[in-house]
Amino acid sequence: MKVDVEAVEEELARIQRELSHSEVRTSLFNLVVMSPGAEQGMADDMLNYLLGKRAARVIHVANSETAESRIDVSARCFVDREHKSVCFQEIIITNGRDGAGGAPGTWIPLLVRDIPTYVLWLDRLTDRETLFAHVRSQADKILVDADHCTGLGDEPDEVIAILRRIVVEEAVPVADFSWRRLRPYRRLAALAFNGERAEWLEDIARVLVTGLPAMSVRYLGLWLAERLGWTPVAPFRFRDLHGRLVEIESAGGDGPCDVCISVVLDDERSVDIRASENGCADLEYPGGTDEQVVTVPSRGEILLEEVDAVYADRLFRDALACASLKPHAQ
Amino acid sequence: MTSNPLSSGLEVQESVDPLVVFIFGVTGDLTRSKLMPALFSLYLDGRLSRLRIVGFARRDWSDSYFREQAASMIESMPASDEQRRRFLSTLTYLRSTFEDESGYRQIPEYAEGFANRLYYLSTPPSSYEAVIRGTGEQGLAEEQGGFTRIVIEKPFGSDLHSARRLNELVLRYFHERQVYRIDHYLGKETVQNLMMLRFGNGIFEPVWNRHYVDHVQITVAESSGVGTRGSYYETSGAMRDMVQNHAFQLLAITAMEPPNDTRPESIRGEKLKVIQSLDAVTLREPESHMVRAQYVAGVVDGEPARGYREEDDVDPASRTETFVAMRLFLDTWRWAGVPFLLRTGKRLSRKITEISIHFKDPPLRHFAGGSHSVDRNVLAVRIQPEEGITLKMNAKIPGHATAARPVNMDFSYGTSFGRAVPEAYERLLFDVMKGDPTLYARRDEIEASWAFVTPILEHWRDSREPLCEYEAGGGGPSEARRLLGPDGRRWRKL
Repeated sequence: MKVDVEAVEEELARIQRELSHSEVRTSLFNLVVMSPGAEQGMADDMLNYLLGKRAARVIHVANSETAESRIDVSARCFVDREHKSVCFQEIIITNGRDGAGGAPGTWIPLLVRDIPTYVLWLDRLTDRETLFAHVRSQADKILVDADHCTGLGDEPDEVIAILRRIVVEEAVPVADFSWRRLRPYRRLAALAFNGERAEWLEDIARVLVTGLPAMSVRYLGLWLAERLGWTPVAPFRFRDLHGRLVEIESAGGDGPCDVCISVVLDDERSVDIRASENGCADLEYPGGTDEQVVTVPSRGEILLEEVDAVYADRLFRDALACASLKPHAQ
Repeated sequence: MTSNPLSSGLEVQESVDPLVVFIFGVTGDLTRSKLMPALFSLYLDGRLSRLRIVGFARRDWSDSYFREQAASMIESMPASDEQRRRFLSTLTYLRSTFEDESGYRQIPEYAEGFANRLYYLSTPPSSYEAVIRGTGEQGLAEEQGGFTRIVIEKPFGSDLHSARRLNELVLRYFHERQVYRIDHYLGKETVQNLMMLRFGNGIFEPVWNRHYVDHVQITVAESSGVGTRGSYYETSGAMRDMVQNHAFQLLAITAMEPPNDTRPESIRGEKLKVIQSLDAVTLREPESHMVRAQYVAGVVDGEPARGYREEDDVDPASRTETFVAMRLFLDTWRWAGVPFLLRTGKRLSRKITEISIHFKDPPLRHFAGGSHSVDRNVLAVRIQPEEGITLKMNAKIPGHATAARPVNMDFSYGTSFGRAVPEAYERLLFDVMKGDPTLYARRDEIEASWAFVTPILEHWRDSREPLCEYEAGGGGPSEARRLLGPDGRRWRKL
């Protein structure tokens, strides 16, 4: 496969001219999507959400069983009521069995210079060290979805160990969609302990979680541990500042709500967060209740949020730093 | 109170404490078109922790009818049925005239359980005094364990005297920190972006002064006529409707010194200095520094358009100006001698709001004198429509000759960002709930702008000089050209 960068650029410009009245270079960032072939639909859903909201160059590297790699170029523009058009320039690289399409020498020259590059990693995190190293060298930020990685077969503890190394030790900006999806629940937990109730944070005995994926439960535990000064002794067990054991228990989603987080205190009283898919949440704590709105963002919404911010979430780094280097030590 | 370590880094601080919002004049259009959608949007964003909305008006509405009406105001907004139900359940209606004391006496009962109160005056300006007096006399401005704030819509007075009287009245009961005078222009994303352009980039501020800038143009042009607002416009005119508030705010943000920090008082203090530094030469020689005009019949969008005096509810002999152009100077070290050319009008050829900075010629004009002239650099900040920034510069035309032509470096929000920006009212409402008055006008700002404008209005009132005329759908009166001076300046095309 021969990549003629100039020809690709010319073709992209021609297509965009046909679709849009805009002659100026408008792309705000490069978005490199790395996916095994099976993830094409998921990537398309996310990109469809972004279409019309941000102008970007999208380079999609998808694995395929074809013998030879190939490149297709296209552009998509969304024209609004005021006839303003926001365009994607799309380069689709089908990475065949020859491996040429996934090679850095194929896609790196196609990045627009002087604008940020985000890499959306939809593959497994384990066993992809070489490719991931190239990605790290080019990316201003890497976007991963740990829930998706575990769905592809990665072990949660391995995912945390890899992310901890990249984010904490190598200081690479990474945004994890799983972590971001947890934010509404972290916010509810924070609200549940606002004001005088903050004193109860020292009396937590265990946290019961239903309806959240395994990675999210781990992240919830790490976040609480980092914020409250707990020391990890196992993936779901921590010691609080007084040396008492705190356990995070996870169950399936058959509870009275779609996501329930019950924080049980030493005296068996509890602070309960019940969130429903209808976007409403109820907080119940000794002496009161509160109603809240909860919105869990879609992958597309998270993608939009992340490409608008070159920096990464400091809380994510801090939570990963709290993960034990020896996760199974007692 | 114990601090909550779980709040750190989350948007918990970006939600507001429980509060009750009283909307006076809730049955009016502003509630339907702006306030209710903005409140619901903030609710859906999770920015309002616990809320009660009390509609206060004289119409015979009930709680359930108010909720029905509110439901129709938000029906096009995406949300679940449960979210709508919960939001609408926060609404309640208090029926009263603005003059009736007993209505105000019920307010504590409606605010039961909430320490924080917001009074929003969505009434006609003629009712401001009654509502301020009604709340104030009942002791409802007092803060007890929370905040009490009052939002007053524009116009804030009709001249210096009435603005001072209104300020004195509101400050008899409320402290200045409780008073939020709204100018929705300041809530617009692109107006805020002007500050980002100036103070978020290192390259503009060094040339943003009299050494490099020849003149500045501020244009607030509308293509529409007065429509159904004829009777209001007769008492207002372009000067009160646009110049004293919107145009002066744009002028202030364009010309202000960099604030020491982004605290509201720092920014508002710098804006005030700009208005206070307006050179009185404009007042001393009004005829040579200002042009006022009225539109006559013409063609707009291919259709015949009536002249102003033929519009509904307009006096056939009206002397109300529908166009104003002014040449202003600022007595500041930065801007001494630099004309600020400001124009605003109705029924112009296009709806445009923009600020353009016209730079001086290079000190040596090496490339002048050929068949192609070298134009001045212009930095145009377009606020609406087509929000964006264009820098006009000169480039060599390819070939043997050293010929130049102007080219544009263009940034358009609409082609890079497609995401809907928050409505101005959403931003402004959230700010007042948080207690951030940056985008609201302070008493001294309002009075300073009226202090400059009122003598002009009085001069016009007493003047027998005929108004200039311009054709509806055109570029404004030709007389506005004389404000440009002899230096080859031109108004930017509309």
